[in-house]
Amino acid sequence: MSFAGLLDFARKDVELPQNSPKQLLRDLHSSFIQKYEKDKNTLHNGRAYPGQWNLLVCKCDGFDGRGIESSSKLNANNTFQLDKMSAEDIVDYVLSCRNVDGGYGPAPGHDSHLLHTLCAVQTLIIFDALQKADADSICEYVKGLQNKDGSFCGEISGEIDTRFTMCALATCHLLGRLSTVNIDSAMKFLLRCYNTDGGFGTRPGSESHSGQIYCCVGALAIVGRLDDIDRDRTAEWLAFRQCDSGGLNGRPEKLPDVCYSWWVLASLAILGRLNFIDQESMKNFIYACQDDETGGFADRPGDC
Amino acid sequence: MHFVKKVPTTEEEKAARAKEQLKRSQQFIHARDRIVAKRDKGEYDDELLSLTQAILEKNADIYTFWNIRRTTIEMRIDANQKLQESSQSTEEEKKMSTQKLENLLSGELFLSYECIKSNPKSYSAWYQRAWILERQAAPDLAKELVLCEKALGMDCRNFHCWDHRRIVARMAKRTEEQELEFSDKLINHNFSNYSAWHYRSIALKNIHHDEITGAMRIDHGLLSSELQKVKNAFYMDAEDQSAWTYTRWLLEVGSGKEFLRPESAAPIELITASFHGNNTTLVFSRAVTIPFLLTFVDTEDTTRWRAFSSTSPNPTSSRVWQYLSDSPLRVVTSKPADETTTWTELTEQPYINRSRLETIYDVHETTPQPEYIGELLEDCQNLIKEEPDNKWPLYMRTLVLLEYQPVKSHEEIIANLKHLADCIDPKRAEMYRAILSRQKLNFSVREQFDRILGTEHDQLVVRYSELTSLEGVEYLAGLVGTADFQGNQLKEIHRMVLPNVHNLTISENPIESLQPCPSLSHLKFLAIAGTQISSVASVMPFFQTIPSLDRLIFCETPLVEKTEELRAQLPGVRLIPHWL
Repeated sequence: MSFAGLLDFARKDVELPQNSPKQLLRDLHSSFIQKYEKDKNTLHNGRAYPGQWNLLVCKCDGFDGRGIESSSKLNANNTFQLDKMSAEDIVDYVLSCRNVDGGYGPAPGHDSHLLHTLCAVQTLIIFDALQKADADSICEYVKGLQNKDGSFCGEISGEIDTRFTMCALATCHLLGRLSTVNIDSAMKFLLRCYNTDGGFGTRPGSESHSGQIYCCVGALAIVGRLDDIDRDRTAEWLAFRQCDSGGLNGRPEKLPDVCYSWWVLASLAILGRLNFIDQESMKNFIYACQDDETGGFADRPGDC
Repeated sequence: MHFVKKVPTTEEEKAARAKEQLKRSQQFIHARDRIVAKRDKGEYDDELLSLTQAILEKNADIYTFWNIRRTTIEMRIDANQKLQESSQSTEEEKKMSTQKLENLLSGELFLSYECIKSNPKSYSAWYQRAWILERQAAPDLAKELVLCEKALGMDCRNFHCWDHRRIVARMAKRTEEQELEFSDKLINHNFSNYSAWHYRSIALKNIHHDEITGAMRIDHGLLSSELQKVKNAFYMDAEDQSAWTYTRWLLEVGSGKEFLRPESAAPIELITASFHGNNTTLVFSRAVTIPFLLTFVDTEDTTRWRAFSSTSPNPTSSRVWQYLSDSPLRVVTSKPADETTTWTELTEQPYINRSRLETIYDVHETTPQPEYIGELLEDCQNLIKEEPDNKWPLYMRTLVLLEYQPVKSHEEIIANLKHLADCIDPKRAEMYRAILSRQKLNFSVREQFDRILGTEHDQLVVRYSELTSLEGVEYLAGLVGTADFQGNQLKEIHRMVLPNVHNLTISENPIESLQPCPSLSHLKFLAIAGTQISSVASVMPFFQTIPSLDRLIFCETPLVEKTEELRAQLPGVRLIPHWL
């Protein structure tokens, strides 16, 4: 981290530079992502980072035109499509990350994790290849990670986090097997992580965090139990995440970061309260986070 | 990447960087392959430990390699255990073995420390610390607490460190009082520390909760002193959210409406129970699931229940439930404190928990206002004068008024919320308008309270009241059959939770389309006059879910021009495109 980066710790908001982008740079983002796609080294041999699949999922959602509505809009002016070969490559790669315990790791040879198991299921669904997965063994894997108190470990090590509750429920839900896990106890644990400020933390007593709220609100929505929380209170906490610059932060008194545009906004959407923030200034913040040389987005304007 | 500034780079620099990256990547792949091969062969030896260490020092997030280390360590713990129990090993051997294991575990703590130093947000590195501490014969917890404090000194908001602190404090058997003091120390050092205020609120809750009921018991004296403490913080920096959030928490401790909050320890109560010919409707103080609501009724049938929610078409937990049957249920209406169970027949009269409904809609301002509340109102007023553009004091004052003087200060509450939405904080205008909407709904419900609770009418009329949302009407789900929300600011109605409504007026609202709404499936009469609905396609998905509709008023809408098209789609409905 640079000295200028360190200084960011002391600030609570940013200013959008005059010359920052004012609209979505579609072509640049397309070539930015394409570079990853072409680089087989990244896909097969590269640093086996947790999160690599997330990139893949975003890519497929955003540019293959089979994803969310906004992505089809992106696609309308975009010539880039994943060709058939790449799709097969990706499915093969995902399947090569499967382990004997039924779960999936971030790369071949790595241990299974709920994060990557969900990502695998999502990716296979995007490519209509779910039939190549063994739903029974995936469910067994997920079920095996649920604890008596309802919480979930992310993997064999025993680390517990409400993020993993979301991963477990979403995985089972996508496989149409929600009843695999004990929903009641999962919800009991989740609600122990609900704070009076309306947010959720990693574990009971932990501080509220936008990313964690997304996971918990998402988990509640999957099982139809959003009424178990005070939705207005949660939405209010999320609305106060918007800074003067229009960007959203992850917790009070922190700098805005483009990733929270997703965590906060998706949570507000699930809660039916997207109008609680100012959408125009948020869009301008996101536009300003674009790298107008290489494509791609930074956490905030001027970073890389 | 986070917190990394983009600096101009030449092509040359870029090429050099790419070369360096490729080299690092190849080194990584080589080491990774070696690690995986050794693991697959079961060679959990010192070499494996040093290979994984070399990589984790550079990238602490590769949990698989931590797993390999943990497996290795557990094998050594087992081996040491066996050696200690063996009659063939000498005392010296036993001592040596234990010492070697202890060294391994402390070495692991050091590795995790190094990893945290370079990446203080690494979940895996922090987890490894707790894992090791739990396996040490005599973990140095005092030292670990100091480490947490040091790390929080560098970044007082690092939630990984706070989470770790919670684990260590529990292991060290620190009392909640001690942790409260710890929060004092951090807050005194820096008022703007949301994490420390949060930690404080949890400690206070744990100290002052009733062992049996789980309810929080914080007396006025303590509340008053906590308010004094937090006051220093918001006077220091009135823009800081940390202090205001804590203030709000204090404000709501002991609130009369606490029983409605999801985290409340108060027993869940029946608010109303009513029979409607084809269903029995139950409304609860908080959301409940089927197994819970079965304890309130004389049936064990789980198949005929239907829940309603403003955010989900098929909720499994809700305040509002219908039991679909032509014969009424009997319900338990005794208070939890009662020793005998009272069953109530719903054949003629609905069951109404009048006092709870009075609290919900602020019918009485009965709560005596503690002195500190008056002081808080004054403090806010002072800050509003000093910093008229700051949203927090005005918002906090409004929240206090909503809690303690919703009737007496109705006008000020409305004026404040409008000022916040229109002038001070327009980014969150709709949020303030949602609160305003609820306040106006309560006002209107109060005016017709006796009529709504009476058996003569089933009408709820909230006209020209600036409603932007219908949150809050759900408590009346068992009492309202006719609802009139004419002249409000509603943009949608599909979130409405009034499942017994058969007669609905939403004329003169800025509505452009109608989405399917599970709670309106028995609608017979609908008035959408003066709305902005313009196409048949934008309303048909809604009408297709309402087979019972027999009259539709849509005068003064662009839809009037499409009357014939609409008639073809809704043959059985009497369409009224013009006022008589």
